[in-house]
Parts: sequence; C-alpha cells; structure tokens
Amino acid sequence: MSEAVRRQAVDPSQSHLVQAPAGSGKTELLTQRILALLAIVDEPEEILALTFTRKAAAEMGSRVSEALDMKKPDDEDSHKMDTWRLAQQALTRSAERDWNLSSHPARLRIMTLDSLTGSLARQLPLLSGLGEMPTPSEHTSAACREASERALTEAMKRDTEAVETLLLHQDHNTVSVIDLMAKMLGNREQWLKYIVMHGRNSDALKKIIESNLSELMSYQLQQCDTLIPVEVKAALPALLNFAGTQLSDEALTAISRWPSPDIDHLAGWKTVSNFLLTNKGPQFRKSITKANGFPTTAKDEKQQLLSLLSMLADTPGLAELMDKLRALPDSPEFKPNQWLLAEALFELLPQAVIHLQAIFSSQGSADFTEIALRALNALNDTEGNPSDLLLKMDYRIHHILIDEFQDTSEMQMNLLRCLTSGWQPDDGRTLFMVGDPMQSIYRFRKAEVGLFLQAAKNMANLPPVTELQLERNFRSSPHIVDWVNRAFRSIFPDQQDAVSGAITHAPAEAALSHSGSIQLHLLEASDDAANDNQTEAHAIADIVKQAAERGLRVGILSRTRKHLHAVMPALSEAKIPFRAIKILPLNTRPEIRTLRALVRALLHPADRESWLALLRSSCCGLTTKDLFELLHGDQRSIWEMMQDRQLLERLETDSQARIRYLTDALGPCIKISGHVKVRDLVQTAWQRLGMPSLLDQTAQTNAETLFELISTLDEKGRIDFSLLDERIESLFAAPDSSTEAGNVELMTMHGAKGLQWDVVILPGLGKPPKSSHQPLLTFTDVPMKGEALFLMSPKAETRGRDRLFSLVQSIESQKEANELARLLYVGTTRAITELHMFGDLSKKSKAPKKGSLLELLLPASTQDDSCFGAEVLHIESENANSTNQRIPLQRIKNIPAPLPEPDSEINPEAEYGWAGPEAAPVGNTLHAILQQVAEIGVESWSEQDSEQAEFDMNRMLIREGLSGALLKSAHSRCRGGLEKTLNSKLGKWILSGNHEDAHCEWALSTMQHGQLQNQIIDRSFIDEEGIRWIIDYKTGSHEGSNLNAFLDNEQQRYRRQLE
Amino acid sequence: MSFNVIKRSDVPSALNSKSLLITASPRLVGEWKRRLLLNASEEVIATPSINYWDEWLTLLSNKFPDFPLPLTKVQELLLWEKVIRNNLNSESLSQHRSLKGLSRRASDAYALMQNYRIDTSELALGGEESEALARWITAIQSELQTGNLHQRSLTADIPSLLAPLLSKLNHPENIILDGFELFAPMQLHLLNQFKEKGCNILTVQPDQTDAIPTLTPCPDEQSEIRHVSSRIKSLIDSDPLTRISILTSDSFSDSATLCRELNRALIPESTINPDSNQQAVTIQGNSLSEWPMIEQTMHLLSLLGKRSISFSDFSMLLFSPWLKGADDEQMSRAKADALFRQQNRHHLTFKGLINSAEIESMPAFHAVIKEMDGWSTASQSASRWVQAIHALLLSTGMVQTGMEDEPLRSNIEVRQMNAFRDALISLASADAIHSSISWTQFLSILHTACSDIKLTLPSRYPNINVMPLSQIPGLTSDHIFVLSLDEQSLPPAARPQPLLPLSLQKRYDIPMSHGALQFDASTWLWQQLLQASTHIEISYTEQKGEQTVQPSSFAKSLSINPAPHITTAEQIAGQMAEFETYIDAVDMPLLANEEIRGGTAIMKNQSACPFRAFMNHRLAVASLGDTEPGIEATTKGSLIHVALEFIWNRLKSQSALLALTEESLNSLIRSAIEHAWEKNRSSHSSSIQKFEKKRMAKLLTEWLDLETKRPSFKVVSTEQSYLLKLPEQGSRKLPLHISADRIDQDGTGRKILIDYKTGAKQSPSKWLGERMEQPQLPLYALAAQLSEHDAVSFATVRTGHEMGFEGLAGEDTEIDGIAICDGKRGRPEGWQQVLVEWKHSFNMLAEEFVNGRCDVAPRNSSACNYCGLESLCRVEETGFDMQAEDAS
Ligand code: SF4
Repeated sequence: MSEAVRRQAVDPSQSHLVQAPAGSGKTELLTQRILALLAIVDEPEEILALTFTRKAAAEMGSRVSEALDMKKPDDEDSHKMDTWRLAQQALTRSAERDWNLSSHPARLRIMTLDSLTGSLARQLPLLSGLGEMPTPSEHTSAACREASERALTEAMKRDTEAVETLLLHQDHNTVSVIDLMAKMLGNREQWLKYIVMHGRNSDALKKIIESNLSELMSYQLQQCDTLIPVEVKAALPALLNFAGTQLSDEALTAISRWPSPDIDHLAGWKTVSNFLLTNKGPQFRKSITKANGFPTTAKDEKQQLLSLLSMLADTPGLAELMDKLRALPDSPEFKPNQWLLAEALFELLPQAVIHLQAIFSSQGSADFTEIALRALNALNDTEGNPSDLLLKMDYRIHHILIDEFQDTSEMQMNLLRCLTSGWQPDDGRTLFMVGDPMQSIYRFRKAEVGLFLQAAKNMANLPPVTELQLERNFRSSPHIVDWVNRAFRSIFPDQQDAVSGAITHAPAEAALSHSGSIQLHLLEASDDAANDNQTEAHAIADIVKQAAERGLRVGILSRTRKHLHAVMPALSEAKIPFRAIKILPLNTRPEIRTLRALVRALLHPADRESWLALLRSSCCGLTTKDLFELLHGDQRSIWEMMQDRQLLERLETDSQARIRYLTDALGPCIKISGHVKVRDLVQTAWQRLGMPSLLDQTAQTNAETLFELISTLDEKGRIDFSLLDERIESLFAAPDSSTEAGNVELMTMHGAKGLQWDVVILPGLGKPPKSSHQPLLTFTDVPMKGEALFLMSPKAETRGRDRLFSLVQSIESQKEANELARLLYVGTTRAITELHMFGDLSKKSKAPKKGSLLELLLPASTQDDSCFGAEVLHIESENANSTNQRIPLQRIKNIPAPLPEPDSEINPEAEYGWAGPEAAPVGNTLHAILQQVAEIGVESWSEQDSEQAEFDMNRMLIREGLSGALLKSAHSRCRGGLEKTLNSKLGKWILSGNHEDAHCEWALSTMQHGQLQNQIIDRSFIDEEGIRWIIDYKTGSHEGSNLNAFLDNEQQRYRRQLE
Repeated sequence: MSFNVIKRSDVPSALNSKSLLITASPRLVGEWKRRLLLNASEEVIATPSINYWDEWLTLLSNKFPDFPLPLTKVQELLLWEKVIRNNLNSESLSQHRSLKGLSRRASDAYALMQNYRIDTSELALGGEESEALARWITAIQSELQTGNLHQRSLTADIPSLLAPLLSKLNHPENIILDGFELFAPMQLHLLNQFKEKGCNILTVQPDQTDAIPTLTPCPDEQSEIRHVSSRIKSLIDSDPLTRISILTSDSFSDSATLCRELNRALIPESTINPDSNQQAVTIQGNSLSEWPMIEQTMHLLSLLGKRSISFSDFSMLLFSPWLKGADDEQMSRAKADALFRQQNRHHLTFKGLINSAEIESMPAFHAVIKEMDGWSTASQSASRWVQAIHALLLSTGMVQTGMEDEPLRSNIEVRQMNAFRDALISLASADAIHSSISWTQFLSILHTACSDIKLTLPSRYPNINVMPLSQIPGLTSDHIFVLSLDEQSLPPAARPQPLLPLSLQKRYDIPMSHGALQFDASTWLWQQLLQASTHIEISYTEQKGEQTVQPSSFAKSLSINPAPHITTAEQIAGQMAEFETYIDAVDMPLLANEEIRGGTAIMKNQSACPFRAFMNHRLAVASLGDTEPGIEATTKGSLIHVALEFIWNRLKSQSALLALTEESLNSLIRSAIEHAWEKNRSSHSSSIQKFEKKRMAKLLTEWLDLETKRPSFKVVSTEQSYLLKLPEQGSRKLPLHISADRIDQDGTGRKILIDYKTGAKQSPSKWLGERMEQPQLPLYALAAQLSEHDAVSFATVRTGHEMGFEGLAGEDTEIDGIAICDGKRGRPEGWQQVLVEWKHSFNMLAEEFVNGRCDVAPRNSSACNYCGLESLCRVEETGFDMQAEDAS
C-alpha cells in the first residue's frame, strides 16, 4: 500500500499533500521527488524546496547531491534503486542543458523559508522598503521593549487618555504595559494588517475584531450542530417545551424547534445545553427528575428523553462542545470599558511599530517577521493581492516542495499563497507538501497545525492537491508501534479541528520486526522534591548503564530542560559519559559567573558585588574573613581599597599576594576600560588572570561562547548589564564533544524531533507545567475561511468571569493542550527498541498531577492505570540526606608570577591640528599647480599660464568637493599661495627649470623588510653646487610634523637613490 | 573581440614608456609594482606607472579641460537620495527604512548599465522597480543640466563621456591588461578605439605552476581558523618574510576570530596586552563607525538637541573615557551611575542634570553637559555643521586641543580621531547638493561617511594578507590558504542585481545573473587560484551551526590532508594550574564598634541564607541594579503606606470611617494622597504622578470599603516604632529598628497587628518554621509583645481579588482571612505555641548574626530567587541545585 502511495507521491506532474508519520522515510521521498522534477524542468532554479531549518535544508541538499553521485545499487527492488534511476534521469537532463549539476549544487534552490523571504526582500529593495538588507536577528525582544517604551513615553508626554486607560488597567505597572505591547509587537503579523487597512478608524477595527469573534462563536455552534443526531433535533424541542411548561420556565417553553446554528440563536443553544448537561461539566444527564420538569407521571416523556440523552452521550466529543457553548459570551461585542483598552493599545501600537523599525534600522538588523512582512508587501499590490510576480521573482518558480509542512505559520502560508497565485490546474506547475500534523510541536515558533488540515481539505487557498498518507514505520519495533497506536488513538482528540489545532491519530504499520519494550516507572512524590528528582535520576542512570553495556544508543528526552538537571549528576556519578544538548543554562556555570563578574568589574569600578565576586573566585580565592578585614566599614570602591597598602597589611601574606596578583593582572585593563571593544578588554584580562589554565576544555568553550555574546552586545565599548544577563540565560553550556559521549544524548523533546535512539527515556513526565501568570489581555489568531482571523480581548474590570476574554483565552489553552499531547507523541516515537517513561504521582491524590504528561498516559476518565498496556513498574523513594552533601570550594593554589607591564608605544602619533574643510583641497591643488610651474620652469611661466592655472585650480577644488563660499575662499588661498611663491626668490629658485635632474611629484619605490614602499617627493633637483635637494611643500600653517625629524627621515629613506 | 596574450614573465621586459599596464584591481597594481622592483637591478626605482581600470579612465578624463567633473562620492549618494526622495510619494517614503541603501543599489545598477551600455529605455516594462530606476536616472540627468551641478557628471558616466574623446589622445603602443575575466561592453568599446588606432592590446597569461593543492576538512569554523593559524605560524617561524595569502570564500564569516587567532599565534604577547596597537597580518579593519571612540563620538552627537535622555544613554556618557576630566572624575562618575540606578532615574533632562548636586560635584562633566545643552539644531549648511561639530568636540574633550595637560592618547586613538575628522570634513562637499541640511540628516550622512571608512591597524607581518578569494586573479604568493571553500561558495548560486529586470541581465550576461555564468566565472577563478602559488592549502568546515557542509566540487577530488587535533595554546603547554580546596565559613562575630543598620530585612536575609545576610548587612554589598520605566513598586507601596497612616491618624476608628459621607471620604482620601506625595522624594513626571494618584484613590476607596465590613475597631497606633535587641540571652545584641504599620483593637479588646502589603499575597506557611520566608509579621508580634488573645495580619492593599487580610490568631476575630491556629488544614496548632516558636526562631537567627555565621547555606533553592549574589557565593560549585524546586 505505502509503496504505491510513494510512487504516486514522486510523480512530478501531480500536486500532493503527504502525511508522513514518524519513521516513514520522508526525506528519501522528498529527494526522489526533487530528482524526478529535475528531469523535466528547463532550469534547476525552477524548483524551490523549502524547509524550516538550515539543518534540514543542508541535509536535503546533500541527499540530492549524494543521489547524483551514487553508484548503481545491487538490489534491483530497493528504494535506493528507484533513487538511482531518478538521479540518472536528472543527470541526463543536466548534460543536455549544460547545468553541470553535480559540480554546481548551489543551483538547487533548497532553502529555508526565512532565507527565501530574505532573498525576495533583497531582490526588491524599493518595494520591500529595505534599501539596505538588515541582518536577521532572533533576539529582538529587547528592541520590541525599547520600541514600546518609546511609544509609551511619547504618549505620556502628550498625556493621552489611551495611556491612562492602559496603565491603570495594568495597575499602573509601566513595565507590564511595555511587556504586553512588546509581546504584541513580536506578533504584529497578526494585527498589523488591520491597522494598515483601517488606520485610526477605531470603529472599523472594533467591527472587524467583533466579527472575527462572532465567526468563532458561530463556528463552535456549527461544530456542535453537525454532531447532533437528526432524531434528537426532531424530538427534543417538544420535550423541552414539556419541561418548560412544567417548570414555568420561559426560556425552555420558548424553544419551539431546534435552534439554527447561528449566533442569533445562541441563547436557545445555551438553554438546551444547560438542560441536557449536568452542572458538573461536560457530561450529559444520566437521570431525569421532577426538578428537570419531568414528574413521575410523565413516564413516556422521561423515557424518550433518556434515550435521546444516551444517544447524545454516545456521540464522541459532543458533551465537550456543548459545555463550551454554555461558557460563550452572550454576544461577541466588547463592553465599552473593554474596548477602550483595546482602542488604547491600537493607538499606541502603530507608533511602537514605527519606533521598532527605526531601532531595527539603526541596528542594521530586523526580526524574521519584519523581513517576511516586507517581502510579502513587495510581492503584493496595494490591495494586498499578488501582482506582477514574473517581474519580481528572479526565477519563474514551477515547482514548490515544502518539508515539515505542519510547522507552517500563517505568515508563511501567505507567502506560499502569493507564490502560487495564478497557478492554473494542469499548467505543469506543482505543489508538494509533506509533513506530519501529529508531530506539530512548534507553536512557540508560530507553527499553526490547523493550516495542515485546511490544506489537506483544499481549503487553504492553495492550488488543489491530493492528500496521500504514508503508513509504514521504518524505525520502531512492532511492539512500540502497536503501543503508540493504542495510546494515541485514545490520547489524541476524536475530531479534527483546525481552529483549536486538534489532530486525530493516524495509525502506523510496523515495517520492521525487531523486538521491543515499553515501561512506565512510577514514583510516589514526597515533600522533598530534590530527593524525588534524585531517585528518578538514579533509576534512569541504571537503565542507561545497562543499555550502554549492550552497546545501545540512548536518548533522554524531557519536556523542559530543568527535568534533566538532576539526571546529569546521576550519570556523572555512574561514570557514564553523555552529551547534553542545550540543557545546562550557561549562567549557572562557575566560569561564566566569574567572567560575568569580570566584565562588570572592568566596566564599572563601583560595582561592589562584582569586584567581590572576583576576589572570592577561584582565580583569587580570598576567604570571607579576608573580605571582612578588607571591607568592613569602608565605603570606598574595592579597586581603591585593593591599592591601599596599609589596608592590605591587615591581611595575611598569602591573601595579600592574592590581591596583588589580581591588581597586577587587571591594572592595565582598568586603564583602558571604555577605550577598546569590551571583548578585547575582557579577553585580555581573562588571559592576564591566567583563567584558561584553570579551566577544562568544556569550560573554555563556554567562556568562548560568552566572549562571542559580548562581541555582539558591545555598544560603544560598553555593555548593557541587564541585557547581558538576559542573553546569558538563553545560552547553554557546550555539550561534551567526545565520541564516547555521543552514545547517550540528553535533550528536550522539542529538540529531538527527526532523531531516533535504540533506547528512549522520558524523565519527569509527572511534573506539572510551570504556573503562568494570567495575562490581562489575551490575543491569538485562528485559521478560518482560508485566512487567519485575529482575536483579542482585554480582561474587563469585573469581579466575575469575563466570558469574552475566556473565549479567546480558551482557544489558546486548547491549542496548547493539543500540542502537549503531540509532544508526548514525538517523545515516544523516537524509540527503536525500548521506551522508558518516568513520572511521579501526587503525594496527596496518588494520581498524576494536573497538566503533566503523565496525566495523558494515565487518564482519570478511563479508571485504568495500565498505561495502554505498557509494563508499569514502581520505584521506591531513596533515603533523603544524600542530597545535602556539599563540595568544598576550590581556588588556585600557587599564585602565578606577575605579568610584565605592557610596553608603551615607541612612536607616538599626534592628532592633526584643525585647519577647516578647505585645507586639504587647497593643499592638493597647490601641489598640482606648483608641479605645473616647475615642469614648465618658472622662467617660462607666462601670464597666460597663470590664467590657465586659475582655471585649473577652480576645477581641481570643485573636484575635491568644494562649492559656494568655501570654494571661493579656497580658490583665493590657492591663488595667494601661487602668487606668493612666484614672487619669492626662494620659490622661483625651487621652481626653476634650470636645475639638473629635476623632478616634480617624484614617485619612488623601494623594498623595506620585504615590503614595497612607495613615496612621492614634491620637488627634487641638484643645484648649481651639486647639492641634491628634497623639497616637501607645506601649504598650511597647522600641519603637524617636526621639520628636522622630517628631513632626517627623508634623507634616511632615499639615501641610496640620491647618492 | 580577441586580444593577443603575453606571458606574465614577459611583461617586465615589454613595459617601456610606450606601454601601459592596466589591471582589474588596485591590489594588482601594488603587486606589479613589487614585481617590477624585484626585477630591476636598482634598489630604488621610479615608481612604475601602472593603474587599475577606473583610475586609468579618470586620469584620461583629466586630460580634457572641459570634461564634466564627476561628483564626489558623498555628493553622488546625496544626489541619488534626493531624487529618490522627491520621486517617492509620502506613504512609501514613510515605509522606507533606508533611502541610503536604495541610493546605493540605484547607483550600482546605474554603473552596471553604463558598463554594459544598457540604455534607460530598456528598463521600460521591466516592473515597478526598474521603472522607478528609470525615473530616477532621468531625474539625475536633469539635475546635472542645471544650477550648481551644471557640467558635472557621475563617476559611472566617465567611460561613455570619454569614448568620443579618445581619438584626440595620443595612444600608447601597447596596452597590457591583467586580472580581467571578461570585458564588459563599454570596456570593449573603449579598448576597441585604441585598437583601431593601431594600439596593440595584450592580456596577461599567468605562468603555469605545478601546484597540487590539498584539502583539509575541519570540524567547525573555529578549528579551521586554529588549523590555518598554526600552519601559518610554522611557516613564519621558518621564514618570517615568506609571502602568504589567506583567501576567504563567501562562506567564511568570521574575520574577527581569524584576526584574533592569527594575533594569538603570531604575536603571543598581544593576548595579555590590552592596548595592542598592532595586528599580526594585513586584514581589513572595522568600519570607522565601529571603533569605540567614534561610536562614543557619534553617541554624544546623537544626544544633542534632545531635552531628555534615557539613563542608559546618560550612563554611556558618564563612562566615556575621552570626555573632559574622565580620568580625574572616574570614581565619582561611577558612583553617580550607581546612585542614579538606585534612585531609578530612568529619564533625565539636561536642565535637571545641570542643576543636580551630583553632577555639579563633577565640574568637568558638568561643563560637558552644559556644552551639550547649548546645542542648536536649526538647519544650516553642511560646512557650517562641520565647523560646529568640531568646536563642540573640542570643548567636550573628544578632540584634544594639544595642550600638555591632556591625557596621552594611543596611536590608534589618534588615528581614529584623525580619520573621523577626515570623514567630517568630506561632508562639506554636501553644500553642492543641499544649501541647508537638517541636523538629523547631517548626523545620518556623517554616520554613513564613518561606516564607509575602514580603519586598519598596522601589521607585524605585512607579508601576510587576508583577502577575499575573488581578489586572487593576477596575484601570486609563496603560500596560499583558502578558507571555507564549500559547495555553496564555489560555484555559487546566481545572484542577480536588484532594480534591473532579470531578463535584461540575462540578455547582457551581467555577472552573477544566472547559473551558467556563475559556473564559468568560478571555473576561471579556480584556474587563477591554481596559478597563484605552488603551495595551496584549501580547507572547509564540515559543520556550520547545525548544518553539514560539503567541500566545493572543484576541490572534491584533491588529496585530503587531515587537520591535526588542535587544542588551545594553554593545553598544548600542559600548564593546568593546581587547585586547592579550602574551608570558608569561619564565624566572624560582630565587632564592638560595628554599626549595623536595618530592620526586618536582616532577619529575612539571615533566615534565607547566612552568607547573604553577612554580605548585605555587614559588608554593604548590594547589586548594582538597573533603572526601569515608570514608577517603581517600592515607591507605590510607600505612598500607600503614608496615605493610610494619614487617613487612620485622622479617623482613629471604624466608626469615624462609617460616619463619613461619600464626599468627605473622598476628600480625606484626596488629602491623604497629596500628603503622601508631598512626603515622597522620588522624582516622577507629572503624568506619572497623575496616574498614580488616580490609582491610589481607587485602591484606597476599595480598601476602606473593606475596612467597613469587619467588626468594629479602634486604631491604637500607626507606624509605631520598636527597638528590639536580640538575642535576648548573650552579651552582644543586635538592635533591630522596626515599625509596625498599625495596631487595631476590636470590641473584645483584642489587638490586631496589621502590616500593609502592596505586593503579592504571602500565605501563612511562609511565616512558620524555623527559618521562615516572611518574618515581618512574626517580628512585629514579638516586638509588640502580643498575647495569645491578639492577632497578626497582613493587609494586602492591591487591586483585584488579592485584596484583603491574611493573618493568624488564637481565636476567631470574625475577619475574613485571619485564620485560627487550630491545627486543621495545614494551619498551625496553638497560637501560643506559634508565638513561642517565633521568639525562639528570632533568638536563634539573631544569635547567628551576632556570632557572624556566614556560611553559604540557603534555606532551600527558592531562597536564592532574586538574591543576586550567585556569583559571589559560588553556591552551585558546592553541588547545590538552585532550581530543584522550580523543576518540580
Ligand atoms: S544565591 Fe542563594 S546561596 Fe547564594 S547568597 Fe544568595 S541565597 Fe545564599
């Protein structure tokens, strides 16, 4: 089955969307398709293959190159043979059309979406508005905050109502308003279009957002409506009516027929839902009483209702949907005070966008959003429709392939729509999208899995595609494949839903036959979190050890990095080498703490804390007692104290030596702090302190990483300390690069996508997510009707629940919950033979903690703790205390000898004197004119020559850039200079045509220390007495240089030539 | 058109007064001069006259007295910018981020058009971008017809203006051309004219070398650079004069690291010299605008004309080492910075600064600020701006006057400032384009001018050159290293020119415009490389970030020369320093004369971690902190405290509160707020004050409403101060000054001690246990000597559902939020017991403090949150997991 599908997918004449689950051989398929396309196109550049990461692009490129270079395989029936054949066809085409394909792989346009938008923007400097291409930057949150702050400050100066509303809504917390605005700026692709469209027209904006909200509400009604069996629709209204009459409930009696699924009938829907569901949540009533309007006499009605209820209860997902309806706001309209807030934001945000662009422009950088928005703008006409693409694109794109399509963001989708606009069916152009919605886990990178569903249904405004499904899993053992099928059929939602990103499970079929196992290791949590973490970590280390003994590769994958922090020491303790990829934050590493303190101390002599940190660091190693002796009661800066000899004498000799060492090492650096780039300053200090000899290879690499960061943050020889801290937090300690370490890898589940291991261990599944702050304003967008609808709601200032706000918030949380299940899917499907899952149960309830991944594996609703048939094991908690052992601190033992003071400069240079903007042009011009005179010989210089010279002077001065008044004054200076020279006896002698071996502007070359040296002598000759003269013209009064020194120098240099 | 060839080795003998040698690049000119000098018998020769193509054309054009004078670079760019600006409508203008960049693109495109003899009419129907270019070109041409610019031209126009004049010139017998791959149509046109006049045109053919390059794969860029550096070091060790070229491909991105590693390898002593004014090899330096001195100069200029500046901008000034008095006032300036951070002076005005005592105490800095404040930003001519800026730089000390008492500047600093002044002066030429120019525009062109200048340090080994691979044609070297030669860089993908229609570019075979052209150009470049040296070492990095990389297909078949594993210099020498472990927790009892100031914070810190309390309270260590926008939480809190004190001082009881009419309540609140602001010393703008007053009014109203809903009470005291001396036993005592916000007495005579809190709620579990997290209330309870009938409570005065009481008592107080110590649901058992335990805890903590306990022993990992002393205490090195709690 899969084979036929694969063949179909490679067919270069058809457009497809392929769902390719974990382990289904997707990259091979893409490679084959690219090869097949190469055999039919006119130029390789007509094929555009897009990926999300550079890594993937490089991998795809090298797979194609390898295929082009590959030898014919022996096995006639293998996939490899298919690939080889396709490659041969591509090579034939290449030869026919002189592409030199295998020597020129850069012609294959395999790139990330970001580099595509970058190249489009670069190609269209006018339409994109990016005259100078910015450097794309991932770290733009500081810029967003800065822009928001500027906009807010400006508005505060104007004292607008908008500012007041916003600030007071956020409890006059300026920082949180700025953070909110910055967050919205980071997602400006969602809302900027509305502002561009409607400018400051607040009513229009309000209408749009309300109509988006209304779309969402109707969508939810329709979703519900389609699930309700026709029998229910037919019979239920009469029963409701009956109950209404019994209870004198007007709302119930008002329902004469089944409410239609539009927002006008929302009240009816709510009445029905409240009637059918219990008060406890998404559950249909199981019993009916008098209180519900059915007295014991009404047996038939009651029976009828009960049977309808059981029919409803059997419809999967319906109760949840009806429950959601109950929570909907009565109308999608904002309350006045709520809109006031939104309005206030929309007043400030456009200003913030302008500031953001200004900041980007001054930094020469921009976020990917900026570049993509501008590329889109450039491709679209003023109405936002793609136009004139042929003239705008550097190549006509005939075939587009997109890998990992489930990770597409709405903005990228727009780009794709733009690139494929105007494609006609059967015009030979094809679109090929491949991905796995079950593995969509990059919401934080704006991936919107709903787009995959829309595209599959041909509802995404793209050229029509056929949906194909790969099923064979070429990775995991049948045992694992079956377990994953079983577990995720239940864990994933029952219904696909693009809006909330709900993806149903697509079963896989094992293609391999090796054995496998799945174990869930459970621990009962205690009060001592650290001890629990350690118990789990030790159990994991045992498994790793056993796996290592069997020569198996192990992947330890977690939901967050922190879950791995306890595992690392346990592995080290067990002497198991491992590679932790982006796990350990750099800021906790001692060498980084010291380096950070060094940066701050060098740049800020009054930073007491950092200076102390240096004194107490391993490279100096003062004790707290020393510090006390030195510091107590003294408010001077520490650097001053360190140089106070008397003070130092209070300390022991060893401590004195340690301080002196630090003073000697840092003294020269302090002197030039601010004069040079921070990195140069700090790296020299680091060397002078001898730090490299105190660090192992990993620590040195970490320090190197921080040096790199320092380079990028350098601003005018200083660094913003807060920004430094913020950025250090997002850096990670270097992984152990030794080969032995490669067999055990630690990373997050997000980072593990696309990888596989023999043994996969998932620790910390029992941990709940970090509790997050409830925002005061929420926004998101949802894929509906072939576009992204922007939704937002500020939290109204009500004591009770704000339903509009909750509606928007619930979309976000559903998307998040759905993605969480997929994360678990990604984690579990990395395993080839063994899967070990670890989690702890809550001490109180003995159940999984809320929001944990374990909750998905042991769902409360099924009352089943068999974990879908995995082997469930219980681990015993270890004895505490072992955790509290402290390692003593270390410091350098023998203080190194002091370093020499750096040499001072041998030939100090001096700044020029200031002679105004015309000095240099005047000098150059006069030199040239004097050359003319000397070449003719002053004796033959005529009045006419002088006139010509005046004219030439003018031209020369203009060529030098002078104009207007400056030109005039320069001209008269030149004229004066010439006249003076011609009228002076000495001048005439110098310019005489009667000298022997005379030269003007005499250019000479010689070799000095193997290097060519060129010099120009203004004037030189041998006079009547046989003396060789070297003359340098001076045209101004301010030009530095000492005359005698100059003469010595000249003589020295040209001695040989002149002799 | 084909030309005769001449062997490279035959060129020197062919060169005479009737022959011209023209090269494709300036670098090749230098190379030929060197070759000819080596070829000559004398040690000094007259510099041979060799020019590169563009220079040659300019020299030719100078021979015609009425040849339209080309604009200077600055003028050209400004002119393009001017016509583009005039041509864009205001909307697209506002969308445009860099007209400067667009001007450059346009100017490049125009130069290509001239060189390829493409007429402007061919841009028609080429799409919006090319049509705009056509409009701009027309506009430029009309500018060059009139006014100031009459009879001027663009540099790109020189060849076409020259072409009809060539016949008037004496022609040389031979023109020898070197380093050209292909000739553009305009070049051919010009050469043809010479040819037709009988001039012999020759192109240089390199001599065959028998180079057998090797290929070295390196794991990453860092190791590639280290490998090449160490190879170069060994070559230089054996012959310091050997000529080495380091060629970088387009994939090579890290020249800074290359430069650093070469310095480290070739001038090892430079790594410990912070002020090294030399680099090992000749490598293009940074833009002038990236040198700290110029960055700071530009920063200073960018602040001129502003009324207020941000703290970070101001801080930059404080630390600028080139401003007047920086050395003498260094410490005071640093301390001022620390102080301003502490005071959260997030925005500052020049006027405010001039009048501030801190600034006045630094006379030189004060003078600088005054100079800056006096700046006028009214538009004027560029040459006037030039003069004005220079005067300001002199008066602020950025430019030195030459007086003896000025600090000595290093050579590189002198060069930076000289180059900056050259750049500044060059802008006077803008007068020809704009008679008057705004301050912002002037700053922007000054910035461009500084970015365009590259400032290079002198090199220790000028015989080693780093240059792009594309510059190799025609050059030779003893050794060549090619860096990062991967499959993307050679042959590269097509890279068409923006603004010109692609079809046009293909039709004219404009370089880089399509794949086949790129392939041919790369093949030629590869041949040139092979002939440039007998020793060529090519390398590439196998991994770039997360990408796997393949070598260039041209190099794929070369023999592989594996790179030795290179570690850092220190490790090679095997000089790992020796460590010792040491114990660092000796108690340091309070000295007799040691003055300790502080209240509850001491107990809070001691309870969290003895080391922290020791550092904070005995060594006065505090984090430097940073300023933040808006009003800070502490000020908001203290304002509310003061306002409530004011209110209860007036009211004294709940009944008084209840008796107030709405109007008088509001007026009381208003006066309380005014009073609070009067007592507040932080400096906040009037709008911030206004907003905060509104917020306070709302908050206080809500709070007082809540106070009406509890059982009746009288206020016994507000802000009652206590002096606690702890520990009770022992001779050395720690005096703790604390003040309880308020003590109420209810109808039963029970005292209720209240502490206002404006931050987040703190559950009572945080004030129980031996080392409690929030010891304020317990401490007040101890100070006020509460009995078992009394109660303590936080009063959370904060908007939203967190507002309310949170406290403990022995019996029911009928106040929502004050729990009874009944041992149920996690609550403590027995109020009396709690009071006793509190006393015990404080005695213990105080004893620790006076005894000088200072070990690093955080209560738990959350104690370290927001501590800020992590670098100092080195807690992670002791094996403590600071995130244990977070991870659960
Ligand atoms: S970071 Fe933790 S251990 Fe270090 S001083 Fe602060 S509280 Fe103590």
